[in-house]
Amino acid sequence: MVDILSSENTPLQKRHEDFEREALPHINALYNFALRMTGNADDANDLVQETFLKAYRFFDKFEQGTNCKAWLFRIMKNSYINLYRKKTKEPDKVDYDEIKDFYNIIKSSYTDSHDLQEKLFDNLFDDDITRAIESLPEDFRTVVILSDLEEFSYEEIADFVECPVGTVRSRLHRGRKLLRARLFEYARRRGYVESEAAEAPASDE
Amino acid sequence: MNFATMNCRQVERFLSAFVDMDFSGLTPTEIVSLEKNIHDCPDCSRELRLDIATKSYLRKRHTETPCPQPTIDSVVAFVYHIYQSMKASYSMDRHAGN
Repeated sequence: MVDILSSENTPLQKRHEDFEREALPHINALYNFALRMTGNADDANDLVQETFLKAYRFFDKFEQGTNCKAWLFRIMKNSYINLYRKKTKEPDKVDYDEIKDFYNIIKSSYTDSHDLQEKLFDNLFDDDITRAIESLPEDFRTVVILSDLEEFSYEEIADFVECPVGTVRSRLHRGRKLLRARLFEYARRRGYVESEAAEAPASDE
Repeated sequence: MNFATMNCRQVERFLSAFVDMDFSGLTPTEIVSLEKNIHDCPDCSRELRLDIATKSYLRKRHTETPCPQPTIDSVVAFVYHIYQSMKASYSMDRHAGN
């Protein structure tokens, strides 16, 4: 016997199944991004829920075969702007002097990238790394997370941040450099930096 | 911009392309010029190695926080609720049309 109701609903059912298959697996990535953007679990939960509800309603607009994760991130960004960023009194300021200072310090203190991992930062706690990422100004934090943690292409990041690819490239370099400065500062505070390199630039925290 | 005669500050803006091996928007000639600049300059080479190490370090040390189960359950329930509403509405429209 043919289930008339089921056959009538096939397009909707397929849409629902497609959503479950394409979108839901990205919930952890979205939650982590939300956590880093909002800085607290409650807001991250709200943002994730809002994002998935919007995504479900507008799933017809998702182009099958394209990057669903990038599409969800764009929805989350818009929700984030609407829900949270309005509350921010002043946007993050980038301290370019801090980046420059760090460059000079680390240039004179460490001879190669091997040192970066093996001698200096490997003893840092996970919390230090999370804090270092969260402390980056938003423009830099976003591109570093999307590139290094979420493996988005430059085109996808450019689309997300609504900037040219060249700006993404440049921000990535500055963001990574600033992240090193923050990690260096945490390493110094924990006593992992040897005395001759201990006069690191003051952090703006 | 003349890629053959760039200074370090100018090269820095392109270093990430070599970290991520994403050369979007760059021509093969520009890529070759940048490679030569980086190869010939110890500071740029070192900066590139540091960026590669930073990315590698971040990927190695990054731990993903699992989305809390109540949030997942809530999303699944909401989505299913919308699905059921859409299904009901769709069926009513179909029957009304008949």
